[in-house]
Order: sequence, then structure tokens, then C-alpha cells
Amino acid sequence: MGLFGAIDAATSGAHVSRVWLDAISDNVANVNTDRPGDEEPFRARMVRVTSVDRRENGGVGGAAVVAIQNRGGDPALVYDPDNPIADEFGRVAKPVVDLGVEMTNLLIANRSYQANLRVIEHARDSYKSALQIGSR
Amino acid sequence: MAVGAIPAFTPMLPATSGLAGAWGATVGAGQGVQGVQGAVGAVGSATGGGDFVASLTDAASALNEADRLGRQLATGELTDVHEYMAAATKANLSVEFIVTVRDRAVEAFQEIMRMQV
Repeated sequence: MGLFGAIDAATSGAHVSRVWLDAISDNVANVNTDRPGDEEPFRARMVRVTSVDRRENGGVGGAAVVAIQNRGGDPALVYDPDNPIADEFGRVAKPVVDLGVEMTNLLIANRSYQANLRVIEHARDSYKSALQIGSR
Repeated sequence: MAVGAIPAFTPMLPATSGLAGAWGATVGAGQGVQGVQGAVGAVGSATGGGDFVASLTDAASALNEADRLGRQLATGELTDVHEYMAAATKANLSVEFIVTVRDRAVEAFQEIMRMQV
């Protein structure tokens, strides 16, 4: 709906922040998930976002989630032969998650969600002010 | 819904009775809004209040969307809470817009009716 473009765009931004929060929560939950050293470790989920083309979307912009991808890089291999999940060389693969980065992202995602909701609030106030034009 | 009963006040009154219908239908049962949209559209083309009726239909569809998301929220299907809040805000604004336009139109009509001829 073209009448409430600001609200539509802010809703899409809030959706992106919500998906990001979900991914961060998954990463933090798995920060201690070890795997055998010869298996694929848990990798942090990263949300890939694109901007919405305003001309192709009826004049309404916004952001959209394209994909959720796994972080690359080599896991930390810890020598722990007594661990029941250790591989034949006694290695355990630590998850590819940096808790410090995740906590920072959590703050950013939280603030981003709040910022989008604040946009909705202010857009509503603006539209309501427009209804006052010419009233006695 | 007695939309056909008041053809005298050309563009304004059918629309207002349609609005009341939209409210009743939304408050009562969600399925009623579709019917209201149909009725409002028919009145609009018959009496020439097309632009207002188009806005009114937009408002009714915004109400419909909010109603749909509200039902999803109640049944636990909704994943994004803010989506419902945004839809409810849009429905609220649409109805306020329609009511304001209606009030201005009725005001102008009464102004004309008070004129000494």
C-alpha cells in the first residue's frame, strides 16, 4: 500500500532485525557445541541482507533477507582423547562462533529493531498530524 | 445492511453506512469484511462517490489484513509480532482518515443545507 510507505519499509527492517536476532540466538546457544575433530564443526549463522528496489516494489523500499549462510574459517581443534566424541586422533572441533562478536551483534540487532519500531511510531504521529489540517 | 435505502445524499451517506458496516463486520466476524467491500463498491459505482469508496475499500482491506494477522497471533501461527502491530496501526490510520474525510464532507453538506434560499 503506497499510503503507508514508511510503515512498510520500517516493518521490513524490523523483520530483518528479527531474523538476525534469531540467528544470534542460535549462535550463542551453540557456543559450547563441540563436534568430533574429523566432522564439520558448528558454524555461526550469518544473515545476508539486500535492499529492496523501490521502483520494482511500488515505490516502497526496505530491506529483505536473502539467505542465511555459515561462517567460514577453520575451527579450533582441541586435543582431548578422553572426550567420548573425540576422533581417532583424540581431537575435538570447537564451534566457529566468537561470543564477543555475537554479543556485540546482539546489541546492534536489538537497537536496529527498536529503531525500526520507532520509525513506525513517528510515521504514525506524522500521518495523524496530517489529519489535523484545517480542523477547528 | 441497508445501503440502498438512502440514495438521497449522493456521495456521502452510502459511504458512511458502509463504514458502519465495516466496523460491525470486523468487530463481529472477520469474514464479513469481504462482503462489505463488495457492497461498498456497488454503491460507489451507482452513485458516483468512487474516489471516497476506493479509499474506504483500502481501509476495509487494511482492517481485513489486521484481522487476518490477529487471528494468526491468537492461533500461534504468527512469527513476527511487529507485523501485526504495523497492520493494526495501518488499519487504525486508514479508519481515522476515512472518518475525518466523512466528517468534513458532512460538515460541508450541513453548511450548504443551512443556506437561505
